[in-house]
Amino acid sequence: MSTQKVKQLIPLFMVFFIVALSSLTVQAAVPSSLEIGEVRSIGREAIVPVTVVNTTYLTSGQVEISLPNHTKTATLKKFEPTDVFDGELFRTISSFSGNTLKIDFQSQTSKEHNLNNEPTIIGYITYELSKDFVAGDSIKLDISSLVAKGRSGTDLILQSLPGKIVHKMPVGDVVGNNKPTVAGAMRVLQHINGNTITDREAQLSADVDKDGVLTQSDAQQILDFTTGKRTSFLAIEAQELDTAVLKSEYSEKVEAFHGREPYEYKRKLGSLPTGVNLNTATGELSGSPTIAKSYSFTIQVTDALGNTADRAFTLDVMDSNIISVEKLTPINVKVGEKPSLPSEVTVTYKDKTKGKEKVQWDTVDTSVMGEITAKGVIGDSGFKVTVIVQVVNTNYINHINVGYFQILNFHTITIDVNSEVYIVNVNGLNAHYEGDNQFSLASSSLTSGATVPVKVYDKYGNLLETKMQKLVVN
Amino acid sequence: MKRNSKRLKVLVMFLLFALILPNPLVQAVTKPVVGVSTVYTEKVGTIQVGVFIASDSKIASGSFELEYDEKLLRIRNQDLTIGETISPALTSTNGAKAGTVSVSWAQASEQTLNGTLLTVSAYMLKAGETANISLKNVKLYSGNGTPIDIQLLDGAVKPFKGETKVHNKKEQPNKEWTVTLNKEFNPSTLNKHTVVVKNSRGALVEVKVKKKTNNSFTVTPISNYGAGKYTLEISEQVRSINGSKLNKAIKHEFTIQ
Repeated sequence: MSTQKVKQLIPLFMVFFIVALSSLTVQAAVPSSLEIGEVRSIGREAIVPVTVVNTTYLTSGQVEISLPNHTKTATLKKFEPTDVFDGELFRTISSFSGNTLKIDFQSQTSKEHNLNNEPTIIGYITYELSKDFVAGDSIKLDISSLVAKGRSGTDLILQSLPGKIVHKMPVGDVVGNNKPTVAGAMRVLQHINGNTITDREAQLSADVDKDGVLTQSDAQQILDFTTGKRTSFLAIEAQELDTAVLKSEYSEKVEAFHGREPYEYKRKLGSLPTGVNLNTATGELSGSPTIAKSYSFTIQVTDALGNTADRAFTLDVMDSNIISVEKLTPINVKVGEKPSLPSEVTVTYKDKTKGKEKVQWDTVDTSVMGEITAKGVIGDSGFKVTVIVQVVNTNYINHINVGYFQILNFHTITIDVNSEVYIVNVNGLNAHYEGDNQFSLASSSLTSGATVPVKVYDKYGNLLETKMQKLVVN
Repeated sequence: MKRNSKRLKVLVMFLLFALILPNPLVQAVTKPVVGVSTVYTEKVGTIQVGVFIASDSKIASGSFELEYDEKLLRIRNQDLTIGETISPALTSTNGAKAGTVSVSWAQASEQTLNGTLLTVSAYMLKAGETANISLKNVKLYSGNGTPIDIQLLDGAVKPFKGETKVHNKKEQPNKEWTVTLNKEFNPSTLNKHTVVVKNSRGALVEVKVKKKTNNSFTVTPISNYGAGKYTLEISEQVRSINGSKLNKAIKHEFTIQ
């Protein structure tokens, strides 16, 4: 090969090494781990996978997994190794001691096997859940000891990722099969066709891509999960980012769901505003932008198992006298009805004073159930305002009655709700259930005439509706 | 066409239906059948395997897995083609993991499904071997999400060890064969995957397979046969009404003038 050709090839080699090094960096971000699954269940049992993650060579291992002491809502029932760990490559022995499970696996050939950094499930633990395991409950699954051998019998350091069982509908389940199935995908398609999913928990379970509405994309992801094309529903929630103001402090957060924490965020495409940085651990965008223009960028999240998801965002930086706008509470509206959007909002000006500004709202399409973002503009400033609109098929709060004993500075509030409501919270105080879909609160800590949020939740803790209530006798 | 075509009865003699799998009569008739075709080959090379369904029940979504020996068969993602029965549905296929193919589909409305779910262009790696293809985790759901009971027929790629008959008389290009069995058969197991016609190069010729009576069916070319030699193959997957399978597969060789 001539010297000239060698010179021509040098840039190619450099590109190759840069690509190779960058791929090594990505792999290094996710250490070799033993993961106990984080599982949701609404049934009487939970099946929890035990997985070796991001590991190349494996010869043997021993792990102990235990429920917290005195746990009464879950009982260890059985452990079933997968074919790979049941004779194909490894032989596995498991034993119980109370609610502690010991798993011991050894290579069939006594030599290491190459797992190629692919997630490899050792087996599935079945826990029986009692009827006392109810919505909102969660049980930790601790790894009390873990040792493993890698190549040529050398010690292999595996990061412990403990698991948990949460009483919620599994992501992608939708229909109550306690796992994603094709019936869930079918139900999403029926919802799109007009046979709506009204249960809030089922809606949230169906919105696997976290864009707030149910589309064919959700159904496709559920199908892909059932065929093993995807192993996670990790997603960054869609949102409209607040407008940033030139040379003013800005803070906004993008958030990942449905993956294994901790998450790591990074900018994948496009540019962040100069002066605004992304916190890779929290997803917070913060700083003081120095150039006014519209920025488009894509953020990627990687979870503890190495799954990734992307979401594109737009952030407008403006030179404005307004530096911030009050965060508006979500608004519920029935399908096909016009949402009651505020005609004016409280803003903070550059000199830190506050004032009211009128808002012009874009038309909001409420023809389909789900979560949408209503967008508005403050006067002719171009400053954007957004509010989440929940398009629903029912009113969760039917009536709020406020009473007041002036001598005692004592408010009594009764809230009539529909049957899906399990928790009512008034300005941070939980109301007491009186029966017959009525909650009440008596408090001396509320300020007469103030406007306070009344929030109602379903049995899974999902927010159903927020209503701002003025504390005047009615 | 019927008037012109001479009926030839391939009388599958006594005991061709062995009662290997006795099933209750009613169940065998009403349960939807999901099956994998059996393909006969002695050679290394590409073969077409079909996964078929025959169902009177209305179905809105479903899923299945095919399990095969990766040392005998090679199947990749690009070898999988969704069949006409579920092509209007949202689908997902995964052939990336050697030894397993996963398929799922869903649509908003339920309907009866009769025909092909999936065609697999598999590559047989070893001559003269039998590669079994088993159905696993087969789930069918009605429109309200209720699981539907299913009858399964596993398939295989294997050498032909059945009975070969040669029909010496030259036939017309539109030849319709009437095949008569000595017992009533389960019509859910009769389809273009269990009864095939191949040309002299082994390529499949498109035919229509139709039940005629409780124990006979017809095989008609979609387009006229060209001149040459053909083979009509009836796999042992054609089941009797009580679930027993054909004792031997049958090859019937014929010539078109």
